[in-house]
Amino acid sequence: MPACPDLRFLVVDDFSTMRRIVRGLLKEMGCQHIEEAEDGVTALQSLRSTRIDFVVSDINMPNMDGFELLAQIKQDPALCHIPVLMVTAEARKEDIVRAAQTGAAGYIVKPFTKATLEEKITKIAQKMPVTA
Amino acid sequence: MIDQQTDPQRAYASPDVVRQIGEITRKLHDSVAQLGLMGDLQAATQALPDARSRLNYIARKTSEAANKVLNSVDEAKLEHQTISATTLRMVDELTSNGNLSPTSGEKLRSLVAHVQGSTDRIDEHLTNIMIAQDFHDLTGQIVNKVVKLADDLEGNLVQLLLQVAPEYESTPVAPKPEDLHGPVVNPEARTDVVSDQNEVDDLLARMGF
Repeated sequence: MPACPDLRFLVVDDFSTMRRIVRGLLKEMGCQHIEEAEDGVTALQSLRSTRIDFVVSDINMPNMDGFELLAQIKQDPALCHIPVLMVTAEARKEDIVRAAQTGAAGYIVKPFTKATLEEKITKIAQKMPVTA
Repeated sequence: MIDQQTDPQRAYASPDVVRQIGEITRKLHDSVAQLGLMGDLQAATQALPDARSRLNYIARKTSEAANKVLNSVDEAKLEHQTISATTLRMVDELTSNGNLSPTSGEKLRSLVAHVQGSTDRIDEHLTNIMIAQDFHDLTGQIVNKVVKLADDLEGNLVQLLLQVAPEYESTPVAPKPEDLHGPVVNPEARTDVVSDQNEVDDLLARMGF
């Protein structure tokens, strides 16, 4: 069952291939509104100019990495309600702990499956307040 | 005033440390000269840009390959959706006009369900093919790290060369014949290679072929 037909997603990754993969999977899950950004800087610009409900972000990126992006989102009163799901090749425990402590809603290690992405997004979306 | 004991930079740069670094550098210089390693050091330094160029070539080619596959998957998924929708419409058309007996209609629905099952499985395979293109992201991150490492190493080796041989100049070392084999990784930087089939055809045409 699609968990997110009305949610507006922002997929942040410096590799266009990975952005396309995540976009494709979100579309298969029934998600209609998907924006993309190639680093934390452009992601913040999108977040401050467009309505975004859910961020799926890589960690290792130029200009501004995923940790900094996460911190900036969580420190901004206008954005801090937006859940951020980290999707990254960083499998170190300290990175997972750091992401959780900074306010990430979830953490997926690449390579991942469609089922994993769907499960995490559904779980996070179910906790989101229902908006009119 | 900054006290030497509280300022880490001043503490590390004490005369004793400077003297020890000077001794190490002199020993390194003597060793490199005595062992006749200058040529090897120079060759290693000059080989790094080539190695970096080859890694960038790998990154570029894997990116192109992954995107080609993703484009094909997108097209195939659209075709799959068309087949699926058309099949269902075909059954509706055939059964709603009363052209088929109830038994034949039931048989047709059963066959179509079979086709739908197959196309759904094909779609799952396409999704798996799409996800498998994450190899580009994963290998690309490693390649980028190695390129950065090669950059740093090259900088350090050049510094080392300047330390042990201040007269060092970047005179090109002739590549070994085996280094010239394989795909051309930076055709734009070379005049002795072609960059695509058009250039091959042009060259052959100029030769009368």
